[in-house]
Amino acid sequence: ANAAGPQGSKDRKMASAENLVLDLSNPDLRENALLELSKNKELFQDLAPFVWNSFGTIAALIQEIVSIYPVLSPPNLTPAQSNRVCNALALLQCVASHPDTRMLFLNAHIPLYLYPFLNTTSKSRPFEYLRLTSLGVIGALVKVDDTEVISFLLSTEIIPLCLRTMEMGSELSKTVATFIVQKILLDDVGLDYICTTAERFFAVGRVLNNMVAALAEQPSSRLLKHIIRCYLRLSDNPRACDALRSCLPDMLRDATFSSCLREDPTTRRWLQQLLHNVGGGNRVAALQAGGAFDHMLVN
Amino acid sequence: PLTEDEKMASLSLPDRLPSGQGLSQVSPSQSPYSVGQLPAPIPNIGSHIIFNQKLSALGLHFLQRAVPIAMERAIKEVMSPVVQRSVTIAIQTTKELVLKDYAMESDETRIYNAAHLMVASLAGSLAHVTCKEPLRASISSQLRNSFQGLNIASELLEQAVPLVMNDNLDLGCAVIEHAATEKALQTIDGEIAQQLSLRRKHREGVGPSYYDASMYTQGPMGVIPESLRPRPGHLSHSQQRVYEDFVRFPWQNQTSQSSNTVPAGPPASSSGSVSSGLSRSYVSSAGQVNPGFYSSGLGATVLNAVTQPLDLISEEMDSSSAQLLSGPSTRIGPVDGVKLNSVAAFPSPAAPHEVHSV
Repeated sequence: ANAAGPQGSKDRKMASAENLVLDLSNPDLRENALLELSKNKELFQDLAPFVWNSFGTIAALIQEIVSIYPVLSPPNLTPAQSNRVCNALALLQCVASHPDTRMLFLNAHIPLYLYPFLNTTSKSRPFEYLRLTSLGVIGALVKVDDTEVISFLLSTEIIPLCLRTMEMGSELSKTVATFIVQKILLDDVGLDYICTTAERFFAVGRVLNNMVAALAEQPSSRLLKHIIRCYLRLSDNPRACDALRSCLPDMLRDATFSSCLREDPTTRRWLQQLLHNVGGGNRVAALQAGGAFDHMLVN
Repeated sequence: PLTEDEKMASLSLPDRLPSGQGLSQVSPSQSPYSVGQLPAPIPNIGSHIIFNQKLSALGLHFLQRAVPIAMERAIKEVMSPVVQRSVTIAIQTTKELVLKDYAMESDETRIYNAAHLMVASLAGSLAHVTCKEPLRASISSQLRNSFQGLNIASELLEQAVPLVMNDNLDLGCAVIEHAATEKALQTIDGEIAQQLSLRRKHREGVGPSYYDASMYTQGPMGVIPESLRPRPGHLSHSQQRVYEDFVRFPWQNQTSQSSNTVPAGPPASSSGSVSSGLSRSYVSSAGQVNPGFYSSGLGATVLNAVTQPLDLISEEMDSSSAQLLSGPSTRIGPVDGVKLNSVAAFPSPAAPHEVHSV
């Protein structure tokens, strides 16, 4: 930044960002400003503090979000509407990613306005795209490994919403949703949360199992990687580990995915560790010994 | 309707702000008011229920009494957790954003006005979008319950339920939305008054230099250009419009099949400008459909934007997933019957009497 050239170019970019952020508050100019800003957000340095601190910008972005609530059910979201709101979400993702604005973003409860999008089930492209972009905002939040962020998301019941996408989303949104669950599990608070009740554990376990079964038909090594990481992390909890002895899918124990994992030594290592943790093939003993969740269930 | 156990469970678990799916498990501790203080359903719902003539044609005219009762029960069942949750979220968002945006504003009337406009819109929108599917389920089950007592053949029932639903679901949503809006308007002033009084004291202590003090040039505001900062008396017309635009209720833009309006006047607690906005927004959407609102700028916009969010999260994922995320298109799986209500609330750990095997 010492040279005049890059500095001048940076100033020009910031001036243009400034104008575009100003345009956001004008309903007539907003759609174009949303597009330009989200398209070029990497070029604008520190766009997030701009977006957060400028007058009315966040309010305008929230207007964009709630304005499409009426077309969620019955599902009538058009591609143009979807694109427009996704551009607004892209700016919110900047705010969610930036260390100076992340907690402000959470404290204003803004992620919660995205939850109705994650609750949709239409498989049309506009909806799929909307869910994926919304998950991207949540993904940006969990990426930083901040336990406060994880606690916030858990308290707002993000897990059932992720599970829903993991059940019915496209491969892409399944992968992102599983990534979010993985990041939550990797935090101690998240692992405790999910392993606190048998119902929670089995809700997650059931969805993971279903995804494994679906992957046998239609392999995706990327998705499989996140699934295995989730199982491995669950096995760090003693009761969950006990339960996995009986409910880990056989397809993870046999050769079903060996070709899928051929190019991925890291995931192969995770899988080995997982199988080691759950005690390999000795499942009868495990069933007898591992009643931790079973007796919670009958309580 | 919470049992003592459930209350205790919620209280001992501070981490619950339900996503709206766990409607029966809303934590009272999350809400600044108790269930008992919730506004009652708008009286006289019965007179607004549409009774489809086709029901009479089916020989079901005697349902004229059962339908309003079922509707009222369904609304009651769904309303209070939805309203609580929506109001709690809307209040928090409004408080944070209005206090931030109007940090330099000395005219408190303007601050309250902006807050009223925003909180009413947000609480109503959240309540409406959150209540729709639970209300649909509840209306359906209430109708089935009441029909069962009347010995109606099941084929007739299957014809009648969608008719009633189609005619009256929007009304139920509007009632709940209205209750949330009203509750939010009643609550917001108290929430921001405390902050404003602190601000007032500070201003009195510092004197006129307050506006040029630390917050204006240093701190978070220092990083943004002058044109974007909130300045007293210097808001541009379009900046001021942002908050005014919250009266343009999203549901106004919806083409509604139903001609129902919310059978109530403007919320009693609202300020002049808000109540006029709200009463306007509660007028039937039939005459105010605004289909052009979103339809501008399709073409190039769509093409430019369509691949863009795929890279949104790529940096956060490992490289192999990143490849996937930057791929050219999403594969959308086959449609199968995932019901909207199939995801139950994530069970709370401290409700053992509810735990059963899965």
